Amino acid sequence: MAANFKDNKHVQNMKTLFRLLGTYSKMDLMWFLRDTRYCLLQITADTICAAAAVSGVFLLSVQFGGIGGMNQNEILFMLSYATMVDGVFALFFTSSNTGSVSRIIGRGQLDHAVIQPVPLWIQLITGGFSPVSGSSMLVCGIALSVFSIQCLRLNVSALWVAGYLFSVICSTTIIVSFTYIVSCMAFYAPAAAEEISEVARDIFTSLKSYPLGGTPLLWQTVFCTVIPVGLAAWFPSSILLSKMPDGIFAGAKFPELTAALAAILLLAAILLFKKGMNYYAKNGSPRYSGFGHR
Amino acid sequence: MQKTVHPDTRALAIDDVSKIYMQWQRSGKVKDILKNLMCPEKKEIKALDHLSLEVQRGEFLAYAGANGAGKSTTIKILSGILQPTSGKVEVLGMSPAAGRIELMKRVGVLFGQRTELWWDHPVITSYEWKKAVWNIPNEVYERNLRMVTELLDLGDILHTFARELSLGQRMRADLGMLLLHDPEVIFLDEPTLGLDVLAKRQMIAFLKRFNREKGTTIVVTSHDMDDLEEMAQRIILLSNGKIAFDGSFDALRQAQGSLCRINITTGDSNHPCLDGMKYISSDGNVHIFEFDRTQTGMRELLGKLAHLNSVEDIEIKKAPIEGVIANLYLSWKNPQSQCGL
Repeated sequence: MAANFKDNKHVQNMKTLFRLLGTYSKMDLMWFLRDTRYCLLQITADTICAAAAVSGVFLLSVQFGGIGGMNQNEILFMLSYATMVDGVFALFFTSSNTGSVSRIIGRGQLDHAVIQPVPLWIQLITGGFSPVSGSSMLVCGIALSVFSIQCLRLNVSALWVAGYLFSVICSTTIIVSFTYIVSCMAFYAPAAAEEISEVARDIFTSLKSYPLGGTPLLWQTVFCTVIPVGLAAWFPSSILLSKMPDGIFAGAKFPELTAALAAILLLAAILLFKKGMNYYAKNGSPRYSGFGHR
Repeated sequence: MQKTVHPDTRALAIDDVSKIYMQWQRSGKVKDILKNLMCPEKKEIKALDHLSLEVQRGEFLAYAGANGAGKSTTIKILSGILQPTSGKVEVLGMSPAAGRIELMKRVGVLFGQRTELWWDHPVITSYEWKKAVWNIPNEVYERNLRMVTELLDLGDILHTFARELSLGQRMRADLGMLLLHDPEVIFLDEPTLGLDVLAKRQMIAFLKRFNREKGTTIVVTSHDMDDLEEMAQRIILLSNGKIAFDGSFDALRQAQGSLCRINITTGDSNHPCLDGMKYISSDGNVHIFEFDRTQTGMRELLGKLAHLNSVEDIEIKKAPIEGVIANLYLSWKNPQSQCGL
């Protein structure tokens, strides 16, 4: 039985996952040690970006005493949540274009992935892991979260912290899934859609920091379903603050709802990506496809 | 496909494989806007047309053909990157599509125009990355690292960033990385592309030695026929997705009529006229002719040369394989212009 467990495919996959996370951590650390100046520059730039991303909406809320049905401290909490989500994304998906997967698809770099004896999903989850150079945003998110929780004087329990972390993971999953769903276009138009991941990501970057409480219900619904920017910060932070939003999610109290939406999007992303991979295996060489000649 | 060989001795088996791509045709005319948008015209490209072949373990196979003949498509199908439209493919007894992960532990693939090295890391980091991804045991990794470092002369570049390597160094480093997991079959897609003479010599010598000593099956594609002839024992020539020739290089020459070249040095820069021999070129007083040994015997040749004044030297060689292949490509393109196989 012990032997069966050892040979189990899922156990092997988990071992591979952690082995590769370790390998990419080491490679990232080595980059820091070898190119310290550039690595520090990247960390500084990420920190400035994190500050810039939150300051605009925060200053607006200071000016108007809160916006979108949230007061100044609640806005700060929502922004810290958004920074946390960006931090997790940066930690796992910024390096090696794993978060900009349309580049990998469009440039024909999936060929390199397919010849590795590792499931593709493990390659995509681990390939961008950069705990040294990619952690500055996450550190900012943690610091801001602690500060905003203090400002709000929230009664924080272990369950609440678990719910908070779970929501952050779900929101990151939503961003990654949405980006991958849109990026699947690169299977069919490799050159034209090579940069489409960035467009999908930019939707979240520019919109997720805005509280949707003051917008019409229709827009809230759209931004929590079709273009799920509301699920990246506003909706889960409202739930965590027990500020139940209106609209189709009226009465929602639990982070599980964000999880359910994350699961649906993740499933859609997996199915579309598999479909795209089948198309790639069938049509392959961009040389013979209408958009792909490079 | 004939199945006279025991399956265990086969490294690869391609059975009646076809691969068809669709190519969109657009006119670029205003009147065709709707047609291009709604129902674009598609052209069928047959990259492989009912291809069948077998390669035995330990063979060194040259896989050649003109541009678009289907070489890279075959390599991609064998590597599991592409799926055939029809037919069956087996590599080491496994289906590349279904058993990709297990197969990739035993196979090595190198695309000459791309690199598997991490661009912003030293070569040794890419090697360590490979060790982790392929889960190569320590002793195997250390043994193979020592071997490739010595045989490919990698000592000086192991700690150099891949982006700072010359093309020849990069290819050596890529080849070294390819061999770290002891692959039983190696697919090399144009590995000598862009390499200088010395780098080519090094790579060819290494591959020959590796094939001879380790018994690794190697399938190599290239446009450089002289390189292929030096490396491989068997050549498969593809034309329009079909096998046009499968055999040894000598057999290929014979199939084209045992072409030979003769360099005649005379005291004159004007080339002489020789019946039944094709004039190729002159370099000063050295004139090159081509002839078919099955049609022009040695006695007849010497008789013709005896009639020439001021012959100072002669040198007879086999026609370069490049010329043989070029004639073939031309004959496939325009069947009436040259003799085909």
